[in-house]
Amino acid sequence: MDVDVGAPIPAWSLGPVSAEKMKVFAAIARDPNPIHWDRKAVAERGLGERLINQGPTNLGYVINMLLAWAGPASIRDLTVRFTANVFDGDHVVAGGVVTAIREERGERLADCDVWLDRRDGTRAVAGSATVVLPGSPAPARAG
Amino acid sequence: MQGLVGRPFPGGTFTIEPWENVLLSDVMGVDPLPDGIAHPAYLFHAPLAGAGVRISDIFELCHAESEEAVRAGEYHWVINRPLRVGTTYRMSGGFVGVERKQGRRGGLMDVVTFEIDIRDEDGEAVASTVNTWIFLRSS
Repeated sequence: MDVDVGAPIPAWSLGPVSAEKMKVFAAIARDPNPIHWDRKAVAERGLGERLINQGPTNLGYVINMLLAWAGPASIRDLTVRFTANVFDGDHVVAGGVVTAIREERGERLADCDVWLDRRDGTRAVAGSATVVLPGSPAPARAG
Repeated sequence: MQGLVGRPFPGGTFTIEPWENVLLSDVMGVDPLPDGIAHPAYLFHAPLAGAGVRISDIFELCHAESEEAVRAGEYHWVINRPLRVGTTYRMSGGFVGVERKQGRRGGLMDVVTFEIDIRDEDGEAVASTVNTWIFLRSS
C-alpha cells in the first residue's frame, strides 16, 4: 500500500446510531449505567431525551475505519479521549489522517490522528493510532 | 482513594465465544472480521471480565457518587497481535494511578487509571490496556 504523510484515511460512517444496539452492548459488557438503556433515566439526569452510546462503541467506529483501510489485523496501538456524547439517532463519521510512516521490527507502520465526529460537527472521540500497513512482512517472533 | 494504587484485580481468564463476537461486531456496525479475528472493541470489556472485575466493581471501589458521575477519560490499547475467536486469554492487572484534580469549571474529580495485561495460554503477551476513568466529586 502506497501511503504518504498527510494522506486522509477513507471515512467510515454510520447512522442512525441504534438504541437497541446500546442495550445489547450493555448486556455484553455488563454495564449497569442506565443512560445506555433507559430514556427515563437519561431525562431524570438532565441529559436530554435520547440514550447515550457507550464510549467503547464510539471507539469501535474508529476501529472499523482503520480496519477497513489497513486490514483486519492491522491495529498496533490506539490512544483516544472521549470528548462528547453520541446519542441514539445520531449520524457519525470516523476519520483520520496519516501523520508519520516508519519501520519497526521489519514492519511498515503508519501513525495516524483519528477521530469520530457527529453530523453536527461535534467531535466525540479524538486520538491517535498506529497501524501496520498491508504488504508489511510479519515480524519474527522472539524465542 | 490513594490506597487503590497498586491494588491488583483478582485475575483470571476470558474466552471469546463465537456467538458473542457476532453480537459485538453487530453492535459495532460491521460483519465479523475474517480468519477468526475478534473485533478489537473486545479490549474494553474482555480484560475487565477476565481480570475478575465488573464495571460495577470499579464504580464501587472508586466510590462513584452515581453512574452519571463517571466519565471515560483516555484509553490506551497496545495490540501485539489480534484477539481470536474461540481462544482463551489470561488477564491480570490492577489500579496504577489515582489523581485528584480540579476541572476547568471548578469541580473536583478523581482520575483513576487501571491497566490490564492480556496473554495467551502460553504466557505470550497479546495486548495491554490502560484505561482512565474520571469520577466527578460533589465535594
